[in-house]
Amino acid sequence: MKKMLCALLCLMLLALPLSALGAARMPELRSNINDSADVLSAQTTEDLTEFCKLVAQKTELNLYVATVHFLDGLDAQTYAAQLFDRWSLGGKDLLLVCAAGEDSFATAMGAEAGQLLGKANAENLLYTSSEFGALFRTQQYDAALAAYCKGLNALLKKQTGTEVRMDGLFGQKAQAAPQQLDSLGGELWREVMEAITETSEDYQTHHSEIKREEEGLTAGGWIVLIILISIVLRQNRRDRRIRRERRSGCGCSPIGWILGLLGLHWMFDKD
Amino acid sequence: MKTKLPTALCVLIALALVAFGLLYGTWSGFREDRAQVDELLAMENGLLDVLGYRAADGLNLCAVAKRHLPSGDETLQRLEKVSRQLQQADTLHASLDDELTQAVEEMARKLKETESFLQSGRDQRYLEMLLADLGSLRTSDVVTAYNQAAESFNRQLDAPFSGMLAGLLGIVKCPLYQ
Repeated sequence: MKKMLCALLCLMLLALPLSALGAARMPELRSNINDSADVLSAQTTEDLTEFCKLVAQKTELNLYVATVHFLDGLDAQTYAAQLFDRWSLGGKDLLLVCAAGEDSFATAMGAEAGQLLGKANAENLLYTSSEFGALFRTQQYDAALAAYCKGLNALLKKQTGTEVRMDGLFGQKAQAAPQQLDSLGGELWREVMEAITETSEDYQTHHSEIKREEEGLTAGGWIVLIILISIVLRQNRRDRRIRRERRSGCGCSPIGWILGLLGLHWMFDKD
Repeated sequence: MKTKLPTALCVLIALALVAFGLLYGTWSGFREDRAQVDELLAMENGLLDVLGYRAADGLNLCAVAKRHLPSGDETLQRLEKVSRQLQQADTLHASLDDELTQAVEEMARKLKETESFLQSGRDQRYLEMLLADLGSLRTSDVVTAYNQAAESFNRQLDAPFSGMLAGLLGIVKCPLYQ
């Protein structure tokens, strides 16, 4: 029993830092290559897209690449796992996340992709079995991604016997010097700012509409009013006399009216 | 058989009903207004999210600073601590956000005095980028909208009769940002 309690407490402690953290800003899924940090050249993006297409055709493995500047306080592995879930990627998908401003990277993959490549092999691809890690940390992003794709191709050949012909892909692009980024593309943060502005505008529009509705009589209000008027007008003099003669009860009928009207009000004013 | 209630009791019941209507109306009205202000705080991309993004920027700045300062650096530790606290906050902590602003300013000053930072064009651009984002988040539309809504609610709560009644019924003022 004590052991079980200890295990439960440990699990809770492990889960705490993850659940306590606020949401990180993550890019939207647009295509296989999502260069939100704007660190890849147009040619590399094109070559990567073509490579992803060829790999998917030959092996059914779907490669996704996401570049961001920062991870908003998460470690690369957690960010990759969260982005994998957020993009609703599946069993045959492999996601490579690169954080240029933090010189860090990680992969997340579905179960079938893990079986196909071997999880340890896929991890090694980032560090030892390709030059990706070293090139990425020295800001040679185009060359790093080219090295990753070459390494992945070699791994696929080893694991499945299938090789993708990379003729013409990444050929001239390997750079020997760090890429100089004249300006840092903050596409992701711009999108977040736009979303914040949109949220604020939506809120103000929504509440000004509610205010306008509150100023006039609502449709529900009109219906209640019509019912009341029709009840009053339907009573002729004879009815009223008969009711006066037969009057009985404790005199609490106004309470019934109030409760009835409250009920009608609640029915019609419900959102 | 007719049962008649004494006049005094009827008056008492009527007064009780009026009092109940007044109290319930005040309470539900103020509660709805308060819910609207709280909505701006907790909704997606609301004020709490904005503060979370600012905290994230603080942590991003720590990632840049770690390349130039030792891990035990006091300014770095302070910035990391206040950023984590703000990121984990589930209610509005304007003072914590002010602390973050101060810690970021201090970090920027310190980095600009560090030789390795002055030699890194990339990190200088990252600092500029982070400072710009922190600034635009602080002045974003949702901040203005929240402050206006909270101020308007607090003004209603200051009204002589209904405000006092709402106060007695446990309705409290909204915290202001900035």
